[in-house]
Amino acid sequence: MEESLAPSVIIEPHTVDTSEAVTELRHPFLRSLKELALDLLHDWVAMIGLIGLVVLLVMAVTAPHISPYDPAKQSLRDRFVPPSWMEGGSPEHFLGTDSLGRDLFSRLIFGARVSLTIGFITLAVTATFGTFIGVISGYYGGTLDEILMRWVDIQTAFPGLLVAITIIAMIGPSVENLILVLAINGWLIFARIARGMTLSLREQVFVRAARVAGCRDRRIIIVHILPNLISPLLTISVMELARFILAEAALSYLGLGIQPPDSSWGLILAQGRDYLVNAWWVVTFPGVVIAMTVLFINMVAGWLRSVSDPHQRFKLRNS
Amino acid sequence: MSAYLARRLFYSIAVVVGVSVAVFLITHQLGDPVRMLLPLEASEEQYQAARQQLGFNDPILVQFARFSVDAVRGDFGDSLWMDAPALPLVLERLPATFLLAGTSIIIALVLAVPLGIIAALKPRSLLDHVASLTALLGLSIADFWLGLMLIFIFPVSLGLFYTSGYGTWEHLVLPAVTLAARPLGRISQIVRSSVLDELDKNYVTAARARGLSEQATLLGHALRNAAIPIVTLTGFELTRLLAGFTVVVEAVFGWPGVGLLAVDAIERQDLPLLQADVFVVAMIVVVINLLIDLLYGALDPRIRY
Repeated sequence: MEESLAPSVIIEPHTVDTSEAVTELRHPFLRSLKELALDLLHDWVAMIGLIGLVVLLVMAVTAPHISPYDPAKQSLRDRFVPPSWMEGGSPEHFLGTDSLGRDLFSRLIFGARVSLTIGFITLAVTATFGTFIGVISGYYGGTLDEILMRWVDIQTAFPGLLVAITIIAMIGPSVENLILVLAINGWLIFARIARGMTLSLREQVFVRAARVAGCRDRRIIIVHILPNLISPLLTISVMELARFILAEAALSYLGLGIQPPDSSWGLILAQGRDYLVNAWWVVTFPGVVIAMTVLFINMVAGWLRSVSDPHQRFKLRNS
Repeated sequence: MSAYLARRLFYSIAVVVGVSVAVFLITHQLGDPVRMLLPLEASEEQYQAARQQLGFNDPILVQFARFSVDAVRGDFGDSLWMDAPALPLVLERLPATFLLAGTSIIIALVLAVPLGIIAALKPRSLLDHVASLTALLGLSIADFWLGLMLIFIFPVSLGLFYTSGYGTWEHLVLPAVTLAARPLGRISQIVRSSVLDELDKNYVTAARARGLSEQATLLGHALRNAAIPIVTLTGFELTRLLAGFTVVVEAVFGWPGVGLLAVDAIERQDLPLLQADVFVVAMIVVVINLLIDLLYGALDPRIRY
């Protein structure tokens, strides 16, 4: 069962018998990061994805400096100005304005902050919690493992999004609650993968040797097991980030996520929905931005997945 | 086989119990359900009286016992919005959701299998890149946005199909296509990778060496063995559609299924209806997962329980 959960993942246990053993032991994942960087040069799809993501992140971080307008500034005289290249468009509003005359381009730049921040915070919460549960479960085994994994199984069978909107309906929509419901569904996959890998790592010679040498459990987990989980969990993290961004957009679209006056891509889209017929751009551009972001993330994830699979990596290197 | 079935059934019951506890905790203990059930202008005395009368002051285990007994009897209370028992209201919405999710999965399969095979036959060719990019796009587009774009292109601009409603196949087209995008992407990716894997194996080389045509090798040998991961994923995607992805798309197209009902119930603060809705959908997911597990044995004779 464990094998089938993480079939495409390699484990690179620390080597102890080579001359470079000391540095290898210290930075097992730095070495694999360097290899990843080399592979990246061979893959233009991943390159585009990575560059696109960096541009988006820079945009989000520097939003107050590069945004042409205050995203909340209303101007009822400038309602529904079309994008600048269209008839009736104005060079002052590159992507046009919405029903309250707010500059759409500025709103999208600021929306990036909210959408990406929520994605990354949720990722940090789920990856930490899920990995913790998974490693504990796999390392100690026994009844604890049985209980934790049945919990994961049962929760996996839940209708995720429906439960999420029900919880929000009960506790009210806010940024914290949004992150909470996304995290409730998100940690399961980290727990599963971390557990499966810990189970096999636990029996590896270098872990047994550490135990014989008298290392405590905590040291074995932190120094010997966690570094070996980084590369496979990185791939999952990137894919989960894409999922969180889409889920945030969907919840905000339903009115159960970000609340005005704050703004995210999903909410901008929802606010334009009623004016779809006379102002298509208010709905179109937020969706394009969401799709581009998730596409970039997926491009990077696809490449990470293929380089962490030795079989495919061989094909990549030799083509 | 019977031992496996017994274990599987036991597990399903555990899931049902888990789901019940979760639904109970969410709808009875989170936030302030009594406030939700009362009109806004209710006074503090009325609030306290209602709280006492509805049993929210009882010990939590007593509340849970009462909830469980009612749930087993199919009694989730009356919908406040429609003033009728909640469970039948949910059940009558089920066919619409099944129709939508089923049609979407069929659309996704019909397109994804050829797309994946073409990509696998000529890896790293232009066709492969186009197919892979299509799959990635399907995974990256927000479904509600795709729905709105289709509404803008077809009913609004071209006068084809409908923006919302239910009844004829023309109502079904746009929501089903919208919902198919994601499973289309996922399934075509898995078709590509599992066909690629199989084509690398010795029995395929042997079949070619025996002089079988490429077509016979692919259809008679490789595809058959690639079928198991494809079926697994398709089943998984179907449960994902039923378990939530229909919610947003049903809301966009006003499709009268269980997802739209949940959204409406939230908007109208209709707690009994929402509770019945979540419960029913969770049970359906449990049943479908059980069916998929049993399907494996039929598909792969090597699997014996």
